[in-house]
Amino acid sequence: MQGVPTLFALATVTFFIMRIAPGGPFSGNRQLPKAILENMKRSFHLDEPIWQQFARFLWNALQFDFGPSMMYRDYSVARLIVDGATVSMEIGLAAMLVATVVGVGLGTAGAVRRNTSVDYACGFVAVIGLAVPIFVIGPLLQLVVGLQWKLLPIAGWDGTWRYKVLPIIVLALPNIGYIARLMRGSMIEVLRADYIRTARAKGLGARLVLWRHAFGSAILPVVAYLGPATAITVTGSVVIEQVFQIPGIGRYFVTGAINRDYTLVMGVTLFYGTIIIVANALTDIVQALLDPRIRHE
Amino acid sequence: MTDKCADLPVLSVKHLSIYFGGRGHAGLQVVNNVSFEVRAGEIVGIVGESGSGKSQILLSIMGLLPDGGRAAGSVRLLGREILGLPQSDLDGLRGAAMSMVFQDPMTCLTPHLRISRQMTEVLVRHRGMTERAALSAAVRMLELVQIPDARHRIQFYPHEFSGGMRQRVMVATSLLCRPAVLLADEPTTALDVTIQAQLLKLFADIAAEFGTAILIVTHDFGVVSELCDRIVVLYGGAVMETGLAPDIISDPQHPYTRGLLAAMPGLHQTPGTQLFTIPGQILPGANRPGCPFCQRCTDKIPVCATERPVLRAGSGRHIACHVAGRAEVVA
Repeated sequence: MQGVPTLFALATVTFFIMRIAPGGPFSGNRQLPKAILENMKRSFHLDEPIWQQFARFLWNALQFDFGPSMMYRDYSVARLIVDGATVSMEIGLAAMLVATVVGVGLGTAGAVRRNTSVDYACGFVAVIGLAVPIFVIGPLLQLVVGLQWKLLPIAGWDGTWRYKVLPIIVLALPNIGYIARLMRGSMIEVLRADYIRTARAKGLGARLVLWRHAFGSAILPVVAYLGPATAITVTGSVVIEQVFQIPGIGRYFVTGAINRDYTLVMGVTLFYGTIIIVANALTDIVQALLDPRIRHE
Repeated sequence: MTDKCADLPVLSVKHLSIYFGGRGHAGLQVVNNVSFEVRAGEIVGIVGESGSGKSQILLSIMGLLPDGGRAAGSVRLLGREILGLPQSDLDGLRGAAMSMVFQDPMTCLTPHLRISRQMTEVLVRHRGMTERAALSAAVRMLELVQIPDARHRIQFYPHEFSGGMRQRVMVATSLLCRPAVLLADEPTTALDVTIQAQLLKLFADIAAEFGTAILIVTHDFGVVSELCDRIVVLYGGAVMETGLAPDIISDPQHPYTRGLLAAMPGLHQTPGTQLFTIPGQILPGANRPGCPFCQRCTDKIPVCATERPVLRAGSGRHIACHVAGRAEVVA
């Protein structure tokens, strides 16, 4: 519920910044006759005073109506967002799931087998994931897996799993790298804690000490990272969508802003804001579930 | 239990040395050739200042020396050699035949687990009990260490307890499997004085009731005089003086023991008088030639700097000093 004022502030700022920016939705078109331009402006209510436009936008937004897109003719903004978000969320959530499982696994293995070949191998994978940009990894995988081995389609989208595998891997890689480093550092610190020594002194055995006594504390920084990272990932990546030709929502952020597609920009901004707020709320809930001290406050 | 059995030491430490870093005897030696025994129902106190290696002795008995630490010598628990056992074998003994209470109760309990879980897991692991049976056994143990409303409070998380209560929980957890030996590393140092007294009484009761052999490490002679049957005075990783607690407290003979006792602030001290301090500070490493206390000793003679004094018997105790006790022999 605290999200409502946040969303309102976000909408207000975005609305007016968008209007302050030079140019408008129709300035890119070839020179239109004045009468037609006036007509188009009227149909989008752009001829009204700006306060009235803002009030109209707010009123409609409350009913989840963001109007028609100014550039993608015959599509409502809501339609574009729903269609794109379904695709982006599916890929994004799958990528974060993979990243969490693999990253936490690599990080834990590295921490437990600190300074051994296992640790160095995990560290190597993590650095690759972090350092190599997705627009390099993406085409590289297309080249090897798609073109040479002919295992998976290079790009495109028909909703089947075959088209999803490569984008999910590419989206997951940087997160695997970051989560693995986060988990390793946090686990090493926790394994040095006094309460781990107590648990060992109780003769619980290495496995129980690790998974029951260390894991619950060591995972906390990863959970804190997962909230914002998931929000970013599920709202789509322009690069991934370009490289793999995926009809996600990410590209609307860029094209909407460039085209001064006022209605589309407002729609995706509010969508993005909502996702971030929801992701952070979920993070808080999960943290409270994991850490009784947070619950207490 | 027959008398003969009671005489056998439950825990027997012989020629224990502890090193950190390096290979073989190359690293820094922090404990040098320490030997002592603890019998059933007996409370033995290891006294020494910070850096004397006393905590490392307890950790080496538990097989929990930090990375880079190595122990040599012999540690026998109920007659069985346990020094150098693999961790998996030690896990069968830790928490069962021997258990340990640590110094800081605020950091020694797992913050995200309920007390119930942290107690029952010991019984489930070592006794194969069901969760339900373990829980009622844990509640009984909490009642024994005088935690009020234990049935309800066992479901608390550690941060919901005060420091003294947490240390009681630690003690209760360590007693769940009725260990033959209880090791306690400065168990009262982090607590305020009234709580300290209650906890010391608890330790005394445990030794008397269960016949548990208790080895307690402290820098506080107050704790020792109230609680312990025998004392091991440790300096620079080596035993300076050891014997029955009343003998040593009433008649300390080693210059270091005398200094320690003199440095205790007393209630009957005239306000404004300076407290006694032993000059200098403890030096790292326990493998220098000569007496480890030599630099700070007020009674030293030339031989103290070159020759390490060996522990020898004298007036109801063992003492490692070139000076103390010699006069009597001459006289």
